[in-house]
Amino acid sequence: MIIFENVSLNYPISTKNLSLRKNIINGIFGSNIKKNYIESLKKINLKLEKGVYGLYGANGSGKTSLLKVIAGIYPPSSGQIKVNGSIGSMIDFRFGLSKDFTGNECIELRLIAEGINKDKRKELINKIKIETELGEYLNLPIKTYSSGMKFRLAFFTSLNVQSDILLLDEWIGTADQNLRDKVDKLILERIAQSKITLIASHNLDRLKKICNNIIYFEKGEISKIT
Amino acid sequence: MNYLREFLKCINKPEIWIFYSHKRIALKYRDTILGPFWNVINSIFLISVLSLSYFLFLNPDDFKNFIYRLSISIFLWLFISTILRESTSTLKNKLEILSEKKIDIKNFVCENIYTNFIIFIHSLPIVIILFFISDFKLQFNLILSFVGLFLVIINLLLISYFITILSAMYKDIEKIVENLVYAIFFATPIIWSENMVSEKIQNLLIFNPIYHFIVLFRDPLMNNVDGKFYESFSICLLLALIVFIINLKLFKYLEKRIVLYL
Repeated sequence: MIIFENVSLNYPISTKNLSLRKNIINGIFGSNIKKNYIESLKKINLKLEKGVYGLYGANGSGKTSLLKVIAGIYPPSSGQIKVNGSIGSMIDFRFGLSKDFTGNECIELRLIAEGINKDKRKELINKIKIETELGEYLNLPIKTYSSGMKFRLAFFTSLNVQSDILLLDEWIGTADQNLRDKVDKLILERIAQSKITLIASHNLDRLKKICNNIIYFEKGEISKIT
Repeated sequence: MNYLREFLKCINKPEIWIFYSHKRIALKYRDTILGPFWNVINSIFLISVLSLSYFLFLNPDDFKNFIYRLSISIFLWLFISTILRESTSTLKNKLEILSEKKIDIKNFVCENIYTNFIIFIHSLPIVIILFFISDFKLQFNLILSFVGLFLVIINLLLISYFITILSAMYKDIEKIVENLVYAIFFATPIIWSENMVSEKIQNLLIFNPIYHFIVLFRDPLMNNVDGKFYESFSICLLLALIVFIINLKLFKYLEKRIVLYL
């Protein structure tokens, strides 16, 4: 279960408040900066139980911020959030993909970060290697990969991390048409294994096909739930 | 005491920072023949140039002891200064992972210390060789050098956390640390010794924490464990306590929000 109680998230604007000089001057003489943050989420109240939820809204409406708050990446600026269960996220497909690391290293790093033990990790690495179909490319630094190859690597690695709560953000973006059908099928299988799934997307038709409920976002607020 | 608990948890579960550290060293020295030993060679080159200058201009009687002292000081200085400088960029290349997964940033502080410690221990064979060439003797007190080094590492861990958090928020910190490191090099008895300067300057050294770090490691290796060593030991303990208390505030108000500033 996920419960939001008056959760707000203020995102700092770097150009206004990250100068040490300005901070010192403001500290001494008082601040003339009225607002040095963006309100990404505004007093969100929400209770999510078992099911598949779609998050729909324009760019900057707060969908990804909500996912990141659930994942614990961003702390709420005010309010409280309660999350019961382990979290698996496919929010940012750059995850662990440091350009100088090889594909194999990226897989290992991701699994370490997920806290998977050494024996289980070995087993999963072999499985992921087969699923990605990247073969010898896995021994090369990922700066040599195309965006489709990076997607394969990140997607199949993320897919193999089991969790109670699954967070997905525009997961299909860089996949080619051949991969899309396969990805869709696998995502649906993965969703079935999770208790709660949240999917953020611009594609309302797609969300309507997959989700039980759709939460509409507008300027950091929930405008309606269907 | 969540701050301490989380730090101990990171130290007890080292997989992520050891992974990053080994990859970082491998990438840094990729395609080089000597690997991390290049760092040792760079240090030996610096020591040779400084020793030669010292020999030519001052023509000292205790030349071999001077080289030994200089080597210990330079190796430790490089260890300390690299940690301080790299603390300002600890989180710079970690945005990919931090924007997808909640990971304790203390892991990356540990990575910085561990990476530089590995590079530092590559220089120890040189110190051992120079020890046997010098006039200093194997004594039980030598072990205090490792106790001192342990306390130095604790201090560096705390200071590195402090710099990491602040530099993620304030971009000026990187330049401030860079300039401070240059200034401290000349303000610390690394290429000069305490007895070369006036008593007034010697008294000022008490305010230089890097001086105390160097005393803790260097003096026992030079059979010189006296009141000055214990004074530096006490000051380093006090410094660790002060930085720990400051870090508690940073932890409470800034650490969890720091990913928003990257």
